[in-house]
Amino acid sequence: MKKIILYLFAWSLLVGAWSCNKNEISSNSIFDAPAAPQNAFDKWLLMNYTYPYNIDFKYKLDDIESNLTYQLAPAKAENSVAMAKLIKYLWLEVYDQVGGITFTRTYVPRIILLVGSSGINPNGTELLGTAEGGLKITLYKVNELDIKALNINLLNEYYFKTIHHEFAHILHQTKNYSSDFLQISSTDYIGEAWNDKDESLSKAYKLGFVSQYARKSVDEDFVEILAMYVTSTVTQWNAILTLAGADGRPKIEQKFEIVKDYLTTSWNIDIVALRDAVQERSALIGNLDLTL
Amino acid sequence: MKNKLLLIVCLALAMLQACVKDEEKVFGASAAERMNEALNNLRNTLVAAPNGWAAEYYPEGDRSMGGYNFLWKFNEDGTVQIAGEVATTNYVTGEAVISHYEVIANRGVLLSFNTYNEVFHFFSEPRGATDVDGYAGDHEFVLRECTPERIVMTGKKRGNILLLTPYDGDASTWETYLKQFKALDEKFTAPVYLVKVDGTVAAIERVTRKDRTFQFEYGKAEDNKIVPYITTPTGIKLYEPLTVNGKTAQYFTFNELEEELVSEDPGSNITIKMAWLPLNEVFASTVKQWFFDSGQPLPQSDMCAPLAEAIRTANAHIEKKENENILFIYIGKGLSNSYTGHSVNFACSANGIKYYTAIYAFKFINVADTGDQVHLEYTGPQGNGAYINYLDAFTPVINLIKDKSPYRLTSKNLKNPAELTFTSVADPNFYFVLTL
Repeated sequence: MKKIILYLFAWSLLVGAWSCNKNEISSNSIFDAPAAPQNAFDKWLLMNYTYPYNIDFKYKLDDIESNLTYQLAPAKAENSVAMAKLIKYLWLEVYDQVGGITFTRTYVPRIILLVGSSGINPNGTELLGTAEGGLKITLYKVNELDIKALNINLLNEYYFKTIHHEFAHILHQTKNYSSDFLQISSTDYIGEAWNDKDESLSKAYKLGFVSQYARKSVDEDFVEILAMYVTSTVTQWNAILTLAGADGRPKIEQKFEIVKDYLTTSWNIDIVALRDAVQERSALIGNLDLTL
Repeated sequence: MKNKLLLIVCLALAMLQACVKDEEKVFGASAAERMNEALNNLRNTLVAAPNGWAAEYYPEGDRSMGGYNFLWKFNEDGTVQIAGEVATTNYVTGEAVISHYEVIANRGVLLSFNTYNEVFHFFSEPRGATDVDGYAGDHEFVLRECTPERIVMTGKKRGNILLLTPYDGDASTWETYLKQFKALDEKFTAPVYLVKVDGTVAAIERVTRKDRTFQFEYGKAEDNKIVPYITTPTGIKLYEPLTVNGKTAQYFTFNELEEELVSEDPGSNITIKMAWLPLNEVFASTVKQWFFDSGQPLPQSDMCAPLAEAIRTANAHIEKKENENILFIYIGKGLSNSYTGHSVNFACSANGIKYYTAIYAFKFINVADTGDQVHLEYTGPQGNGAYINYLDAFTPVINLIKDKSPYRLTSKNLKNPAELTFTSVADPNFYFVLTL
């Protein structure tokens, strides 16, 4: 009997071993898909964005990364080169200068995505930029950039107000600002109606906002103060304060003080130094080589 | 002892069971390996065509513009040369423009044109506040079939079929090849068409053309059909086969002498014959927009002094009242979502991009037995209320247009008018010119 048991046991082991033999691990790697060829710009991005800032600068439109509700066109390759250089000069290096490179590296979004066209809403408004959870900034209308005739006001209007605006969102989403800010204009936030025909820019100024869009919500108001302040010259900022008049000016000044204090205490950044750095560099963009 | 035996038998059975469950491999390689192979195959096939590929491309999800021809030459360094038959702002028909492409895994094997190419992305970029999706073309395509003789893909967002076949001319022939389509397309442009099967006119109330589609109207809107096509060197190819009175065809040759497209498919015998209408019928049944020239200062187009003065006054009025200017004026089928009937439309804008349209509905009525006279009968303001702000400004213009009706129509091209001169029958000094 014992022999039979032994045979049966040996036999069952053999069967077991044989059944295992059938599942060999394939010697072929599943990761042998050849990478897309790297061009000179890809290599430049590696040295100037990926290594120093750990940023994935996406200039080739990957539809899955973009907003699927809009019809979008990719960015022109030559405009992407110019944009990459301008963003580095007018934004990343400004924060390096004022907040230190560690600050910049830590808080900049991990992805910058360029889109050639704007995303146009059916109500006629345009999407100029979005930030998602501190991870990604998407810039639209890159194909509108006129490399041969750079105009800092247009650059600010289309791109850099947006970049500073979205970065400010990342900052306040990381460390919140004082709730006192909400009290200043609490009844004047109007959501999507900010773009209505009757809600003009001059009305926004007089109510104590630095832009029409700032009326959308308190967070937008907060980041618009930062974006408008750093991208405006002293003269331009004073003009806004003048246009705001007796009612609007004190509110804008109150809001500005909260933003200034927030940047100093939360991030050790002097907003005036930040503005000065942006303005000094803005005056020099004509000297930049925006080609590879 | 019995228990031990039972245990061993059970163990052996369980192992047998394990073997039985071992499934036969349906594919010779893993999913990832097959995906890599498919990616490589498409990359290699795209690059392998020495003279590039001729592409049949359909924008718009409902293919309501029809199809357009492209030539694509893919290079190993990730660049692609693209030339198209449609001239764009900076490039003429057939001029090649270089951009990037990538073959990636995304919903299968995906071909993506991922940096901007003015010639190609013409069809896939937004065109302003009133046309947020532009021509709604795809710039990413999912692979369906790949051989050296043909590649079939579908647009990722709109799902239209894209067919690639190897182009057999060298680079010096691109321009000639791409220019022929528009020229041929213009040759078979007519206000209406008669569809005949075996020589008998089919019971379709009206057949017209819009872009590269035939519009079949059957009296009831729900029965109407759009028949998209792409122009070929000798005629047209329909997006999908068309069946009329039991006969089916997809390929047609243009017979210039007989002014008709004749089906090539064996046994089909379908013809699409060009037919002509008097000018007043062309205008009274228009589905297009006939524009006053909208250059500034308004008005730039040819018109009599009293109408020009009325338009200038209206512009000054809205400039003062709304801080806006007239962006464009047209007569014809309304473009606004709120009203698409026949109307006179004034688009007004503060910034030249976003605009509001004042819509004044009209009936376009043929004056019987004249062949060239049309009566413009005003039926009132239309739309979502935008007109209220503008009513004061435009009423004098509207009054002039309606009071001087009926009009006699003339055109440089009586068969296919692209411009129409309206001259008041009662007052021959009152006239204006509209263009498509």
